Amino acid sequence: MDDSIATPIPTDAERLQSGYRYALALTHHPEDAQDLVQEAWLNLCRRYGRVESNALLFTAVRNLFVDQCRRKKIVQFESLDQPEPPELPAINDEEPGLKGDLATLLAVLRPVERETLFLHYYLGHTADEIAQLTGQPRGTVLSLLRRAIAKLREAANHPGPQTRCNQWLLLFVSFI
Amino acid sequence: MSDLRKQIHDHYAAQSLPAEKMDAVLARGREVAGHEAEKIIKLPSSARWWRAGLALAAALAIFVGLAQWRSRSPEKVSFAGMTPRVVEFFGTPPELPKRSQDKAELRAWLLAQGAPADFRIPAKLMPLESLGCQVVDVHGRPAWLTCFWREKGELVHLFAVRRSDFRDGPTSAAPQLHEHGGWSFASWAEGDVLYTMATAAPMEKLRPFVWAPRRTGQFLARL
Repeated sequence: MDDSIATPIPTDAERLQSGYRYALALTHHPEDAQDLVQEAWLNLCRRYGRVESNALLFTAVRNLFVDQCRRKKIVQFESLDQPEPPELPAINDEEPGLKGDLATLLAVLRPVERETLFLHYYLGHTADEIAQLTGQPRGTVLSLLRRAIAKLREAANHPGPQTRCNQWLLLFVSFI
Repeated sequence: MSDLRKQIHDHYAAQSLPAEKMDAVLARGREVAGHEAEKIIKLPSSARWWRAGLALAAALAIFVGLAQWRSRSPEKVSFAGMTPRVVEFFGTPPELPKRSQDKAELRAWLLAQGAPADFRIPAKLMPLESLGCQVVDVHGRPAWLTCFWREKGELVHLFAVRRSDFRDGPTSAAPQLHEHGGWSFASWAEGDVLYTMATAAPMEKLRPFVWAPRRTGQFLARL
């Protein structure tokens, strides 16, 4: 991700704000995101005297989040009632919008899916750049994007309690 | 911009860290960064000069003792130990007691720490932003380290050691390239100094900073 040539260097406040939004994409919880970005920011200041780049801040936020998931043994569940479609639709550059409250819809996604959506749709990174940033294969990134969009559309078209399903399969967060 | 992209973009753009929280984090960040720097350069108070003098005398005695011991034991250590030592050294985030953007200042600091007088920062590292420097122990021999940002969040490190401290080191100015433990290294000799450039990435990330032998005249920049 080399955006250093044309992009103006953000101020510390802008960088911190960007880190907060990234943390929010991971946690989907404002208070948790505030704590996460604060801890990451202070760790970097202690270690390097300043926060050198957004990439460094994002990596610190991500590592802290993974550590927290491990400590809290956070796991995610996925319903067996609604099996995955055998073929996921391709990503359309002109994806139509979603009905309903996006914040509520995003809650149905796993952190890694929200993170991928954030990096692609908010920060405008390509799948290759996301793969480089998150250390995942490009194919996995594309799959996460398709899956996230499909889940959002499903949730938008069939709103209802998210916890009514009968059987749950323990599925570890891909971070863990 | 697609509707979904706009929807997601607008959603995250609307989320902001509260202003008071942001101010607090930025202030605390400056405080901890300043505190670390302060810890490094803090001098003893005037009331404790005698202690500082005592410590200085002790340090001097140790230094003289070590120098004598060194002069009696000219045994060199293997340069092959440099690579694993670099990987080991960066296994935990190191402290860099000297931080500056001014490369001349960094070089002066390293010289004050005993670096060879003809130590130079390679020309290809000169345009990079520097992070700081440190003296690293390599199997009982000093290595003078300078770190630079090669790209966002990624560092390239330059180690300089005395040729007289090591055996089996490089003998020419043509860099020898190799990889070890996920790191890439380039080593070469220049006068009495052996240089090792290292980065925790594949060789193609290091190669742009390594001198190409045909351009002899542009390798080292005099500070």
